[in-house]
Amino acid sequence: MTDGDKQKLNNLICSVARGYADCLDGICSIAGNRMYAAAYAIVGDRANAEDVVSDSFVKIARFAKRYDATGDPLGWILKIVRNTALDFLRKRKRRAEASTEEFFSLTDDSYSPEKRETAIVLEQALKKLDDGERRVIYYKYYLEMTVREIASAARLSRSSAQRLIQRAEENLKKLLKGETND
Amino acid sequence: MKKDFELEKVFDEYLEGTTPPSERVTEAAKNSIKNKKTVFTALKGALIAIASVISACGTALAMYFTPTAIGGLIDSGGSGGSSGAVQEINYYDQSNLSSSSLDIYSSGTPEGIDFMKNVYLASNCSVNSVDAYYNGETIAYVKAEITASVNSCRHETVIYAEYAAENTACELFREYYDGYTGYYKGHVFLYLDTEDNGEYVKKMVVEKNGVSYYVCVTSSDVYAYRTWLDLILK
Repeated sequence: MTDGDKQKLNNLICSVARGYADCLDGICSIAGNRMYAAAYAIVGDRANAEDVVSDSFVKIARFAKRYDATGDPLGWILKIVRNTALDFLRKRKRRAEASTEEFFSLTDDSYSPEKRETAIVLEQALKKLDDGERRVIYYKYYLEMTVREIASAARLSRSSAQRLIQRAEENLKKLLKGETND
Repeated sequence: MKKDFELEKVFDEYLEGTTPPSERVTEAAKNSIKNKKTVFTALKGALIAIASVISACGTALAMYFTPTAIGGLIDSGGSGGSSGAVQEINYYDQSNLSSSSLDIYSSGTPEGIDFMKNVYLASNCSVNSVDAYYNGETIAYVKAEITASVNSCRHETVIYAEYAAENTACELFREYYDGYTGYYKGHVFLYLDTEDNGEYVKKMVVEKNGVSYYVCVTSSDVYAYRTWLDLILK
């Protein structure tokens, strides 16, 4: 997401805080895909993912007044989605984020045909990472989490989390370039 | 730590290839904002109408309203409390404290944290850590980090039990004393409400038997704080 888009998101959240309900549609147009992808990765099906996104928008409307405009708007939104999705699973007594392979399975029939081929290459590369590497890639590139947040979620020290992220990024880049043996 | 530029582009493309959610996903949220405005507008209209009637009757009636003190037993912890702590607190620096993991079943465990034994035994709770912080040989405070599931809602809770002299507290707890005053089942406590990624965060300080308890609860349940006050104050 470009810095311009993030600035727009920031402004839209501030407008929601002032009561401009239609700005939620603006947030959806910029971040809707990513919100849906983050929800889908956790709950595993389209209908439930849409419900999670809908509930997340209700929370965005409720908490917009407390949003810190100096922070990362996309990160704030995606954390709301993640927490909402995890609560959704808990209420249905389902295990959350059990398998990291489920995080990167977006290329179903509804996926954009133009982007499908590149997407499949990415998904296959991600499958070749180990579970820990895949998880930190999910936290960083799906959920926009900071290193501190990743360390806490993965129960690692900050330095270990940083090293794991670096290793995951290097391995993923090599896999995408076809530089490692299968 | 910034994202890798190449990977960021790859993931942006990947995530944008999903079918966007349907337009109805923002409906409930938009309605919640519009309904709030409608209620406020209706209330405002009603208040203006009442004010008009009162002022029209004002010359015929002389009424004296004495404000009554509304206080006492509010089960607040929500809005409605009075602001600010009244006592002066002397803060000590925490940088000289040492720490180690604490076994609450050991003989050296201080008073006032017996409730942690119930937490350990509960099937819906997981104790992530219990650490004691020392000023020399004396325990300054104990910190417990707990994850619980109550009524299908997650609670992420940190409880500190501090053993300091009256009106003394660690610098770490300064913000807790900026809270509002609330009452819960006969106990006075201070509280601050914030949010974290769409979840309610409540910070509270309450005293019992000379021990100061600082509790930070994060949950999607706005009343989660009651679980922990019940545990400490029982």
